[in-house]
Amino acid sequence: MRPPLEAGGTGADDAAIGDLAADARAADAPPDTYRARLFRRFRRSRTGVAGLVLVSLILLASFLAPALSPYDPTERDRASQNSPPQRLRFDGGLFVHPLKVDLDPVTFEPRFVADIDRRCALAPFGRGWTYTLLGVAMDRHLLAAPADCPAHLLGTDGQGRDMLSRILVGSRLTLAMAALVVAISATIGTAVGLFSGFRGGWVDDWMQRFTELVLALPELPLYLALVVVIPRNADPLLVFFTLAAILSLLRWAGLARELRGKTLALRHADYVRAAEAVGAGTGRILFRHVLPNVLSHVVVVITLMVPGIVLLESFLSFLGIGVQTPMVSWGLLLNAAKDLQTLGSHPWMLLPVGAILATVLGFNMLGDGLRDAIDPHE
Amino acid sequence: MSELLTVDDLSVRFTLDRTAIDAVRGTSFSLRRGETLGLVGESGSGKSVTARAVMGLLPRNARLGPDTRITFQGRRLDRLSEPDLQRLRGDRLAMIFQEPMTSLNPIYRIGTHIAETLRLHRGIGKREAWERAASLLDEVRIPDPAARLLQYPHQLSGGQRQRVMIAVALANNPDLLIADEPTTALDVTVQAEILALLRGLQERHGMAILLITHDLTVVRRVCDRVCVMRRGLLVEQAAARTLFAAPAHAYTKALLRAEPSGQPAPVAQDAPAVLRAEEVRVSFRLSRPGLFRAPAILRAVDGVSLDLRQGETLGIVGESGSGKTTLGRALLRLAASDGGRITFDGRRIDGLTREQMRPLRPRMQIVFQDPFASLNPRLSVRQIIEEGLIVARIPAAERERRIRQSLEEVNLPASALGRFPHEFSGGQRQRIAIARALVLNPELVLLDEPTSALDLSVQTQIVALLRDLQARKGLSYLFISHDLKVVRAMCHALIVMRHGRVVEQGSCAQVIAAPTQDYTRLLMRAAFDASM
Repeated sequence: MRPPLEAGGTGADDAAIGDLAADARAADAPPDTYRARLFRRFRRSRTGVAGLVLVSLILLASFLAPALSPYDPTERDRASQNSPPQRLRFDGGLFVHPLKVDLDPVTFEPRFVADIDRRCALAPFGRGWTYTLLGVAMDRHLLAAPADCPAHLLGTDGQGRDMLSRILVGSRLTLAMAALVVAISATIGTAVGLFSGFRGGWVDDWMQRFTELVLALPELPLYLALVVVIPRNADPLLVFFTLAAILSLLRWAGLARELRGKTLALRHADYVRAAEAVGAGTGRILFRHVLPNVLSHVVVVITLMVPGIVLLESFLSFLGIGVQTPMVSWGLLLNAAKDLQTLGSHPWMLLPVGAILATVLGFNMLGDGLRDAIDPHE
Repeated sequence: MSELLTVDDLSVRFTLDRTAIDAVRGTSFSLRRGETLGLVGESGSGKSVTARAVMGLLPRNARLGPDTRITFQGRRLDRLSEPDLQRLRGDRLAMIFQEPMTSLNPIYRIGTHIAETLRLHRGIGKREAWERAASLLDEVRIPDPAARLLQYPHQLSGGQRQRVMIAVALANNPDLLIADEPTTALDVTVQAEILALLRGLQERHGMAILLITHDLTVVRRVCDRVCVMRRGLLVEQAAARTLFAAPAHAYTKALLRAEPSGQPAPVAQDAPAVLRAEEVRVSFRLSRPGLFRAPAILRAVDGVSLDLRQGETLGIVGESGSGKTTLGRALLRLAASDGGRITFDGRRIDGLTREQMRPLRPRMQIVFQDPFASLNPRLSVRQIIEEGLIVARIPAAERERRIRQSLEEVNLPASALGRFPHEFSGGQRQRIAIARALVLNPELVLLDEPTSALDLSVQTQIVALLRDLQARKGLSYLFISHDLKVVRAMCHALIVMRHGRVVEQGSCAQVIAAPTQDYTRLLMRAAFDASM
């Protein structure tokens, strides 16, 4: 333990007494920033780190989705409709056995059976369908599917489209929706919360009443009304953005309320008064003293908001009032699995549920870890 | 000799994040029936941990050392199971805490608090318990006990709540009472009453008291023997009389010497007035006006007039709720006043808007009580000190020069600039706060209890620093404090406030030595008279 700074230059008495509360480090250690401490505390939480890993993997997979997909997600293969997942095998090279249709001897129901005499080799980093990533046209894939030999690792849907590729590519729309909604609502919520809490008085009163109004709006009927408002033949992109806008306009109020409370408390913090005493104006106080001290809270709220939006998107698209075809999203993929017959005979259609589950779990774990790192109440 | 409590080789180790911290190392002491032992030390010395170890109330990440033996009435407390300890606590062993606001449960009546303790350990009926509770309240000298029993904690003042806590502790006639800073949160006059009460009760019941405190005045008043702790070690143990007369250990000597002393440099006769206030009033509206009732209004400051000359320190003293902080903030126009005139450097400032005040801001600065709350945790020391200079539009090179200069003036190394507030101790943080005020070259500095959150030794250093800066720069201080010892060492003139009004006003020496008002006399006796 090195001597505290206090002992320096204040006389012999101080050296004898010292400053017992000293937690200061010696001058040559690197400064301990708030962020560094936050990260140290975050690393302590095992679930938080697991969440971070999971979320990073999902985001990476989503970004590289076309490169990871063996098939074009919109390509239909009439030869293998509703085909079940095929097992990936290895003997020096990766391959799957193609499926052949066999009739059940009793019920005459068609069954898919692996044709062990044939092999469909999957080429690692081979060429496949063309896509653009960051504006560059590419045709390399992690596992390129062989031509004329169906290899669907997670099966296909009723129109013979590869489920693995669809789940991967579908993640982009779902996550983009979450990102968009979270970005807009966090911006509105932060702005309203800070302004309302800092201004106080009648402005605060009215802004709070308005926030309460937004909080009180029943969400589901609004979403259902969306179906009526947007024409059936509208551009899918337009539907996507309208949905994002509506979700954003409904989701900022909670954050605004929380931040208003925090701002009210910070407004009377001694360091804000001290800033006022050195002559700092409102803008400076807000952006230099209040905002940085509530930002960590915003980050946590945002992280915990993502799973909510992912679930909501899936729910709305599942009902058919969210994202429209030909776009691909997780909710829309589930839409294909909504009847009992599909569930019974093609259970792999439910695989997007796994993706949703992993995302929701990952973001929740990450958010909880961050929250514990920010308010360590031990 | 029959010892009531023997603590042998007490060691407590905390494990935090895989690093071990030894809070107490090898402390031994003992306590006899009817004796008061003071456990003194600054923050972090391990005195509270010692008390908690005796009570068996250590947090889960704490471990007792292998050689630790705590013997109470012949029983090994450190070996006792939790249910056995529970039977002992509140019965033979009782404890009172520092904060009387939070140690009583707000949803229970006063009577319930006392009666529960009685019924739990004595197994007596409800009616009998309540009767006994009433007599206990009478014993801790709370007037009208029968009515008080039915009240809730928030209806009582801080001093009364502490009396209730003492009544709860005394309910079962404990053999040992552990009091952890029992008077620290109370005003000085109340503090004196509580100490007198504790001493009286001890004589009557013959219990032993283990008193934990950082306040040497309290120790001198009530303790028979004293243990001085420092960084987890017991450095000196002696009879109180011996310790105060002839301290043996260097640390004890330093601690005793650390009481703020000396006097401020005299002010020139013709020094110009910096701040003048006439009949200043500040009121708060406690409730909105209703249809049929006027709004409830609290006169926090009621008609206060004062003069502050260049190079002078004006002390504003008073107990909590006297309006001293509100007055200080109103004088600097950090809070709105609603009457009277405030003149700063010959210019009326009471009517100015926030915008109009901004050019004047650098000339009047403020240092707050709590150095942990007054520095923005997200900014580095450089950014904290620099802020006022940026606002005043001072060029970067000049800013850098002035930041370094002010840091030097408060005796902090330049290497502190890139660091963040939490890396510093309380005293160092207060130095940073002073540097932030000084860098703007102010004429007037409002010091709002700048030393009360600090340990005694650090407090003395800060007082010396402030006096030194005043002499060098001709600063005028408005010094708000409840601690008359610090005030005596700092101030030229003094204002005593109570309930928003000035009780007494005059030169510091005169008010302290020869107070004319009863209230002032009471304050002075509570602060300086060790025999009381």
